[in-house]
Amino acid sequence: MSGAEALARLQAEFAAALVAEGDAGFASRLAGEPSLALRRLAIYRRAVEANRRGALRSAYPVVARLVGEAFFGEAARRFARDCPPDDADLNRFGGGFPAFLAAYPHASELPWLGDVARLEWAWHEALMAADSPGLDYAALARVGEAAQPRVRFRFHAAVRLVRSSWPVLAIWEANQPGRDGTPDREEGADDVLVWREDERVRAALLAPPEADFVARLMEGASLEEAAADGWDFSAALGHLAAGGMLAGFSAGTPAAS
Amino acid sequence: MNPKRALIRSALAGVIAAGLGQLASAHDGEPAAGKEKCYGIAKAGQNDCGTATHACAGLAKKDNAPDEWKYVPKGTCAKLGGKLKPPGGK
Repeated sequence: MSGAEALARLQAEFAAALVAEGDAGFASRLAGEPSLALRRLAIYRRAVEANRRGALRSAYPVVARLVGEAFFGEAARRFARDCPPDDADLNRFGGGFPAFLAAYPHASELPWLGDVARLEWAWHEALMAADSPGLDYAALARVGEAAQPRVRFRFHAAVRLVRSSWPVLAIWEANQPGRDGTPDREEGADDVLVWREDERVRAALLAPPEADFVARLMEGASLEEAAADGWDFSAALGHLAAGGMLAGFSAGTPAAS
Repeated sequence: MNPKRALIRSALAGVIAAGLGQLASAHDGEPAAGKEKCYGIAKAGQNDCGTATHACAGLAKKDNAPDEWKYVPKGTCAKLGGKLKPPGGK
């Protein structure tokens, strides 16, 4: 084994020992008194844990406020153990946390918690997403009348639609700084559109037909496929365009139908 | 022309007119006035190798071992408790 290979192996073993339960046998390979070595290793372990918890705390401030720091810290610890980050950029860590919370037995009395977390992750992703080009309106104007129903839009990378059976936007708003945590409404099935505009993340509550329309467009449906019969989607489409949420379009022939 | 196609034509015409107008006037007013919530939130960078958190986290005497009290949600969810309902009382 070359020196470089030996070093790479040692580093991999060290990394594994940082997230392992118990001694993991690594402390015996460290210099000095074994019990002291284990305590030194523990410093690194706790730093890794704290970094990961901190990343989740940063992405999920409303969840943290809802459940309290102790509960959040333990849920974060378990999530990081079960689903460790696969990217050194911890801004990308935590996409699976909503599903984890939804299935977390200790949160079973808070059935809306996973959906609140989904909204927070959408918000986080909207903030972090790359910029997308604006819609080429002149090109759109050149699309012939016969091809217009086949227009499919590409969305800005920051656009997310969160559909919930709970009043998630009301809960989210009630837990922003300066609010006391009491939502304005207790009922709702919130469909929330999240996007970034002028360097700020924005959210709007959509009525059901608009949410269905936007969801279908985001799935790649053409205008003709996305539009429900008898519902005027002009305002909904105008909102998407004015918010910079449409980044491009195609007007090609649809797949064999 | 069927009604849906007429609607598509007029909706696209509206989007195009507004879009070209927006480019011409360079700045548009408040978009979709009053409809959306808007928040500017600054976030600190996070990475898995630095000491993003202060060193005390690593120097804590005890590991963050689970305790029963860590499984009980506190915080502001008491304010919502069982009051929240999905529509239809599901």
